[in-house]
Amino acid sequence: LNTTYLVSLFAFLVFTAVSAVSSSMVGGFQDADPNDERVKNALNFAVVQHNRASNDMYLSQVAQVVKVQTQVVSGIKYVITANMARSVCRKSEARELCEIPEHAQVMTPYQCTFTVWSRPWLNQVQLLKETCPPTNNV
Amino acid sequence: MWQAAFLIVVTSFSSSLARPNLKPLSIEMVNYINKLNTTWMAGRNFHNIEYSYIQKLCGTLLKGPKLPIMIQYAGGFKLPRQFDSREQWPNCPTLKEIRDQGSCGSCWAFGASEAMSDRICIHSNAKISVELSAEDLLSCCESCGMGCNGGYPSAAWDFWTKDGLVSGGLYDSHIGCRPYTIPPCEHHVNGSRPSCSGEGGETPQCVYRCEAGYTPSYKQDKHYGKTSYSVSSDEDDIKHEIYKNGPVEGAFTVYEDFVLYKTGVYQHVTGSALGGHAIKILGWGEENGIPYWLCANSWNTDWGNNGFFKILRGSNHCGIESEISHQLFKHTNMEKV
Repeated sequence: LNTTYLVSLFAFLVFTAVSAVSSSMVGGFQDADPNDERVKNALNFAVVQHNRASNDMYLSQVAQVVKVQTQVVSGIKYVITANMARSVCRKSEARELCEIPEHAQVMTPYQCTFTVWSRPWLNQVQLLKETCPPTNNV
Repeated sequence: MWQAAFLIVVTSFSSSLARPNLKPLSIEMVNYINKLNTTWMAGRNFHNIEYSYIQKLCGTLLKGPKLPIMIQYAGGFKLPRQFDSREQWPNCPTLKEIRDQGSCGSCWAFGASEAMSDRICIHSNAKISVELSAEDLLSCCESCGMGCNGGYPSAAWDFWTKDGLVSGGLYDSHIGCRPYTIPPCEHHVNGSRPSCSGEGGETPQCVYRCEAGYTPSYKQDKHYGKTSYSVSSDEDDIKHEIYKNGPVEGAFTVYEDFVLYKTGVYQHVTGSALGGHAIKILGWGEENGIPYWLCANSWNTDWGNNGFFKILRGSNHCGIESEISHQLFKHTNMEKV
């Protein structure tokens, strides 16, 4: 019982310390909702750029959004980490629905972190950075 | 079962692949905000119109009738009902300047260096006019936080007192010792800004020397703050501070709708929180009976009202008054000579 008490006290202290710091820091990162419309737009934009830049014959799709953070810069920066997978759609065809085949899901999953910079008043959206480190297990 | 789950996820993203061009992010929100008939207007996306035209439009819209200036008493001091530092100290050019932080979370360094520059001019009776370097503060103040990933305004003011700041203007301006090195870049647009290259948004290196061709030396170019002090979150105390000593640095929570601000007195009506943001507060007033703080943002002059904005005053809206209470309103009122 004593240990539990100490652990929870410690957790509380760490929590208050962290929240005290975050309350006065500005220009930092904040977790965001993956279902937010603007987050989805930013991710869509990044995936389109990602597919344009890749040599793959097939389009890659987002299988799962892992983490989303926003940062106030001159405009908004979105940092989105997503699990990606190849779909059955070739880049040459524009299909409404691009399924990720079961075997492809097993064979070629990978994770990407996209940094998207949005300044709506300038009509500017830009993919600043994408890192897709090779992974064996997503 | 899991295939079905994947299908749902994939379906939601597939429409974007059929239409590679991202539709304007904000048109629905802009319309929503403007239909609300709130205290401010959101900007529309004038995609096919030259920007100079839009700027002229906004400029015309904003020159409405001026409110009569009335006197009220606060703590024994007479404070005007409306106050604009730019009009009070017309010989201090930095008061009218709008900077651009680019793709870096350096708002804390901008709000601070802007207000410090103003104060140097104001307290020297416009004899000293210098643009303090946001770059020097952003890159060399280790106690300020995490550079482009966020910082503490109060620590920035402490740094000015202890370590001083050199001069430095806008990106590529070649003004001062250390001008800003992160570009306010443009992408696929034939505009006046340089095109984007590389990632951007990384904290610049701290270098103890001035740009080539600039004299005096880095050390000789340092300007120091004299004394640091805090201002309470009381509205009249903040006003009194600005009235006596010049602009202050404030901070508040940015919501999605703020990004679309064009004119009027901003108050949050829609969208989720995106993060904390520091700005410079240079005055106050009332517009159609709505009290506001007059602020300078660091998002260049094509954002908002030529880079400036008004935000609801007196009800701690988005934390605008509480965020500045103990630490963020630490100021230095005189320069060591």
